[in-house]
Amino acid sequence: MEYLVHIAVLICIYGILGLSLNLAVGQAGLLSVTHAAFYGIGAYVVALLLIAVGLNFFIAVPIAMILAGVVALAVGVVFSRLREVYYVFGTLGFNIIAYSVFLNWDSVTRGPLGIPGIPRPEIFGFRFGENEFFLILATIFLAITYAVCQFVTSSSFGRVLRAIREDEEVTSVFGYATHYHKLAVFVISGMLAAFAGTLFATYITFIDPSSFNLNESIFILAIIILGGLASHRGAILGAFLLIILPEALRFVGFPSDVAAQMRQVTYGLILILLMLYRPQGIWGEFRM
Amino acid sequence: MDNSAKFIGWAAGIAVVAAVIVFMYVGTSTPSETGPITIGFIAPLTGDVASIGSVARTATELAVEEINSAGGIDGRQLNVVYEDGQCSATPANNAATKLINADRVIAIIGGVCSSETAAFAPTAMQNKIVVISECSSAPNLSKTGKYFFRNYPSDAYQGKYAAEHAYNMLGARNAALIFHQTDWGTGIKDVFKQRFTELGGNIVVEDGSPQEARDYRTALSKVKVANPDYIYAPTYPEGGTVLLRQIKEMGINSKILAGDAWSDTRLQKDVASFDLDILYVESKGNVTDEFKSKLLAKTGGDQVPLCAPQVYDATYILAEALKKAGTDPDKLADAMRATKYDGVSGHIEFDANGDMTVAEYIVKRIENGTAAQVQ
Amino acid sequence: MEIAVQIALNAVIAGALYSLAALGFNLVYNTARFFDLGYGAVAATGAYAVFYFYKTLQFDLLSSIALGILIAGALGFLIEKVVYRQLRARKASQTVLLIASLGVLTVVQAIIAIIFSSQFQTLSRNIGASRIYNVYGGVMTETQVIILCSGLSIMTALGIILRYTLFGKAIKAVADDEEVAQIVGINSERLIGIVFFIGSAIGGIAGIAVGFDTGIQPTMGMTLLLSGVVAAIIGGMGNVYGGVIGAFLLAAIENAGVWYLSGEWKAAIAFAILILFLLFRPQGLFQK
Repeated sequence: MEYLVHIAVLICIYGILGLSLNLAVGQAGLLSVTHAAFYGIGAYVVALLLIAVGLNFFIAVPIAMILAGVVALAVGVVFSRLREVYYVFGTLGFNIIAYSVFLNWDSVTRGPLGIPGIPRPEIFGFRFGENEFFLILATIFLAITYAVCQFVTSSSFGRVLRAIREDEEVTSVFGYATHYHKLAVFVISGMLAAFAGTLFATYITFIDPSSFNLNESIFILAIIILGGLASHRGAILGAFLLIILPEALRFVGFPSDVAAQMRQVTYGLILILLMLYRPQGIWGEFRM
Repeated sequence: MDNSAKFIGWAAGIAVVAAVIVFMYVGTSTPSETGPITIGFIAPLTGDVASIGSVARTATELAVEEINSAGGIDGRQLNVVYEDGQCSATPANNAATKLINADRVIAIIGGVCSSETAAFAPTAMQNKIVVISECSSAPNLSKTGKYFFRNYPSDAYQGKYAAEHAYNMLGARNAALIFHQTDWGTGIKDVFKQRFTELGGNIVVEDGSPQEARDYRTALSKVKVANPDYIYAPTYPEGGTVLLRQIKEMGINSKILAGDAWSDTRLQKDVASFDLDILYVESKGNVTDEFKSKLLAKTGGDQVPLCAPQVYDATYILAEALKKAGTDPDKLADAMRATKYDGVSGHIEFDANGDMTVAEYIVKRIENGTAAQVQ
Repeated sequence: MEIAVQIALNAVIAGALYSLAALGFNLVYNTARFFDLGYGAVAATGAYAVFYFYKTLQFDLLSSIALGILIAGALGFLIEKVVYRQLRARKASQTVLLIASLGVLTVVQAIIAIIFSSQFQTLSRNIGASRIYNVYGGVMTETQVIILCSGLSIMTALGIILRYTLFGKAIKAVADDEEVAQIVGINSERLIGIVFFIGSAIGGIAGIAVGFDTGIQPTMGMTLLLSGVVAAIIGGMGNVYGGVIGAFLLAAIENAGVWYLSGEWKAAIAFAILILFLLFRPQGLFQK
């Protein structure tokens, strides 16, 4: 039972990550491979604020999100002119740079030693110490994220985004400042990824750079590709499947070192098969 | 969206949930008073540190086989469930959660990386699961909790010893630091740097790289220019072998002092022909040839890397404590704390924090394809 | 002064490896018009094949290398046939192909790890035996000289083939417009198959080179690939000579960065260069 609660919390966290990336990729066609960086910023800022300053979690979260938003703004501006695969490599590069910063900026992040002892969230004296209560908090966070994404997509802003996704030139010809739209959605997307990071930091109570590297960004991308691009429910489905699958494989009975590699094989095969037979993902509405 | 998509989505989800429930039901064990005792094992079995993790696993298997064939724990067989920590926080945490809740282990051996241990130890403490880590060296783990033990000393000791040895015994006054950026490498390097400069020494170069890095040439160019007495190189064996070769190729004359990761037999063999002055610091252990040959027979390779002797001892220590105290967590923790064990990694006793009371070190010289104690 | 020579040599040594990576990658991109991350997979396969034949089966050096190159080429050919051909026939976008190739890389890496274990291995039987050349006070080993010469000869050979032979013209035709090329009678499928074979064979050489210079492990493909991609992009995607120059430029800046800062920032520097080029000169140094 505890085990299922734990998995549920992870699904919430990765669900938020998937939803956030989906805004950028599925709605605006910005194939970013750097969301782990924003995830990391959210986690580190909250960790530091909670430990060093003793700030309350619920005040630290917006601060972390705003900081991530600022970075996302910078990243979005810098990469706004890149297209398609070049955008992918640009953001990939940023992720690697961000990871280097997490790893090398010892004085702040403690580098490879990480930050342990992050306290669980507290509000009005109530501490989300038990995992069951944390799950409730995580679900609330997920619901908030879902609502925000739903709001973005069903608004006229969202419609413009989809038009940009389908054909940016035409949309700008019609007088829309496509630049700003894409930037805005990217910033929101980054802030939501940081939102997930704040949950992550206080759940595991320990963070280190290895959780925020390129592989993590690729994993988040795989979640939405599997679940379905441009579909909010798809993002959550993708998170659900990609979290549960490796856990289920544990019980299948492979010898455990082979098991871990089999996980990778399955994961790679999923990507190949999806691209071959269903590139929009399971519940997706947008084909790349 | 089209109906087939909806169907696929729901079908996939339900199938997976069903599979999980079935497997969990089948795979879950309930603790009993007779029958095997289940313990968990977490180490990186994939990824860059997999070479250490997989040999740690083999060493554990070796210990378990020996314990079981000698009668187990008062007749009960020891059963280990091995999980992959991937040297990363979330996977280690997932592994531990599964071990604790699905496999119902009463103790966990692991993790190797401090990031693994730091990620799952709090949960283990909450669930009153005894944890013994064979290789995690981050100093802050000392504060983990009453069920936590480690038979590997914190970075603070080795770095300090190396600095004092370098300054006092080897007469080094200038040192270059070439290290791997991991909890172990960075941790030891920081302590060395602090102690060495405290003693009056001078750090002329400080250059780190990721553990997977294989090109140290420009860092070594800096070393060549600075020409220090010693290069202190807390690096892992793979990178270390390459580093030594590049030192040789570039004709650098400085002597080399490294960390216990270089107790790896393969590294020692590979660098035999380099003719370099290589010393390394190692825990005063007792890695017998018997242990080495047993382990190498099982791995089929020629590496006895860091952590293998430690995890072998950790398994035995846990087994001894289980024999004395049974599976009750508090009694088991007390029995662990009262451990006095002499194993292949040395003499082991624990203090109130679960840290080793003594961290004794020796220095060995690598030459002729093997290592011999110098002092 | 001596040390400046050494640093320059370090750059040359690293650049030689990157250039081998860039050459094959560029050849494939030139013809098939997409970024094939599976290139990393064939590089690792080549290296491991040599490991198997040379160290495990104790074949002689030249046969082992020849076999390694052939196997790498064959694997690349196979992957093209099984995975990429269908996708290209459907006019899948570059991003879809990129993701499919990521899946390929993941699967192959995992399979190598299952068969050969994750341990680091060296290819040379006698690790200390390489001869050393003194070049104006700097140092290069025999192996490195061989790698450099191979890189330069392959570059020249490719350059000649692409420019002056009928085969090269056919490649250009297919690259420009596959349908038209087919209309004039070029069997584009067979041609692309051959190109993948040759490109992957070069990838195999790159992997083998790294293997002899430092060593092999299952994840070696990704690192080699990323260096090759950065080199190719900054040199000008698809330009054979550009890729090589880009490789040396990348190596030079990386090593300068390590010299002035430290090795900890090496990866960040490499990708910062990539980003700068993507922003200010996306077509690279030399156009196609």
